[in-house]
Amino acid sequence: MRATLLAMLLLCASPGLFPGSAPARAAVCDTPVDLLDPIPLPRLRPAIAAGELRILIGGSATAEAAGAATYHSRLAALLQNHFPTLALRVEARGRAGATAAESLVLILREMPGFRPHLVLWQTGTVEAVRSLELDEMSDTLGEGITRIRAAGADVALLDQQFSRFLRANADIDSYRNAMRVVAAAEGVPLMRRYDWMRHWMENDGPDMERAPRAERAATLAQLNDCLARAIAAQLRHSARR
Amino acid sequence: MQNLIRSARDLRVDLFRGIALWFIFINHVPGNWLGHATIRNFTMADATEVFVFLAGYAGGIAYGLVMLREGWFFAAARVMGRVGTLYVAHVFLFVVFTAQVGFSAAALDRAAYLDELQMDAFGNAPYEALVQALLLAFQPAFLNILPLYIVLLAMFALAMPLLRRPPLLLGASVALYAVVRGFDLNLPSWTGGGWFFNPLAWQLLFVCGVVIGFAPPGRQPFRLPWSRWIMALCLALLIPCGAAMLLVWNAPELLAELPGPWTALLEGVDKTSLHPLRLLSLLALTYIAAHFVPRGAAWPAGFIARPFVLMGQQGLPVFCASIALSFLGRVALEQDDRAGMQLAVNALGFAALLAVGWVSAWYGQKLRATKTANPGLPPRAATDTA
Repeated sequence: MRATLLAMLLLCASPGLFPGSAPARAAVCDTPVDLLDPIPLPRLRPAIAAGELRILIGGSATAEAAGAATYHSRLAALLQNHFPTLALRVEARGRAGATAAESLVLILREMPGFRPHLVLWQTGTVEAVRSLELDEMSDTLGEGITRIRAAGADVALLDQQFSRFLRANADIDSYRNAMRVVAAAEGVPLMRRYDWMRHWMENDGPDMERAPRAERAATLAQLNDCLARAIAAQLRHSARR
Repeated sequence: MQNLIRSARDLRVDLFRGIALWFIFINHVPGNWLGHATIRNFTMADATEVFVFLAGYAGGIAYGLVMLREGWFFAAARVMGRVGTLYVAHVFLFVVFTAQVGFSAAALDRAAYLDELQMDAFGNAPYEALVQALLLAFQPAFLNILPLYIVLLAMFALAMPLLRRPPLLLGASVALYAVVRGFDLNLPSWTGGGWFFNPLAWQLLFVCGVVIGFAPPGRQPFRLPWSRWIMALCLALLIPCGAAMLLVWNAPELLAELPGPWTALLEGVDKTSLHPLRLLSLLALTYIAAHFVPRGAAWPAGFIARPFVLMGQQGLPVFCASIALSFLGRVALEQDDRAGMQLAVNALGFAALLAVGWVSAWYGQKLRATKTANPGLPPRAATDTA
């Protein structure tokens, strides 16, 4: 009964499907719709309608972090707040310095037990920083997406963080382009964290590289909150019809 | 400026080379707004392909004739002299890069942030990093074109005698390319995997340039005749590739819906070992450009084209300068990437490249004049352009 009601609610009020643009935060970290990927995530809507949603985040350092201020905990809180009755689980598996191939191992290891509906694969930074072979990354991503899908989950890629330091010292564009091509070719949404973060910085949002030392922790918390909201906005965008 | 341009040459080549060098500067400064206007956005080939191809072309002209006149050993020695210069330039740029990373890290005080930024392959093992850099096995970001060029020229020095039989040279080159791609061979990289640009594959593009550029006295250089069919083939390659490149960023959902092997194909287009689509795209662009800008066309000698022609004629110093200047450009945009700084970086960058080309051309001209006036002075390779 509850599930049917939820499903009806979803159909009627599509824009309200996910949180992500609460007015209080809009000024700080609004994510313009043209920075969202239009590619759909077909398993999301049925999962929510059935009352159960499991999201697995796999990646490097940012996925390894723990605590209430990480973006995955913020994402879980946002979604739970919006769907109070949803049996929601958001798990993150990461290791600092993990390449795409290494984080794929972490993801695949969790798949059978956790049975996620959606895998959010955060990657690409380590490759760019260490100037690793581009094609190897592309091949790993393509293969990984196929295997995760075969195991029964939707996939979305989460690309690099924006940082002036990273941009000046690593060939970030080549690696972003490669991720964009793989995502488009495989038909999975690319969450453009790089463009989102740059957009927030340019619009007086959180800016880790310019934050005074004393405000770092607060800025990081704000950034993670923005990131969670943007991910939620992307999920809403990919779940619309 | 005009009197510094050597106009007896094929100015079209110099023009496109000059533009490619400018694009290399732009593409080596991520965050530069002009980066959205360079050819990598709508063709599979980017400025690197243009540069390597035209380097082969210029090399075929310059060193081919030297070889015919003075013999292989002399010509090869001269090419290896270039290789030495490039190697020293690369080591210099490596030092500059290492300093830049240190400066940036200090300037942005990035502690406790981005801890996955282990930029410090150098910091972690400085002695080994130095050795690997000298062996060209450690190539930090943006320092991958020079090592490619160094190995290409060294290979060219060895393969020169084959220039007398262009089909044989081309055949050997294609065979190597096929073997390298087929068996996934690459030179090793210290940080894992292979070189960012695999010279064993990229040599084919260089050789294509050499074969097209080389013209023994009394013989016509290799030319594809103009034909509407070839033109149609070129467009049939370039237009879908260009459309796909635009779709990737602007409408990825449409790309996913394309039927057939298109998307799988697109995903497999690698840069490392010069995917055939990149090679063919560059050759198609060349064919079209060569037709629409015929030999002796007026505008490559015109006012707007002149700065690029000058830069293209001084390929080596301008190339090194464009890599070195891109360091400054990146540091500048790291501090501030708004419109004012964008304008400053691009205006100053272009002016500096032009100044390097100008000084180099002026010096070369003076040197030739002195040589003519005093034939007793030792000869010098001031006319090399590859």
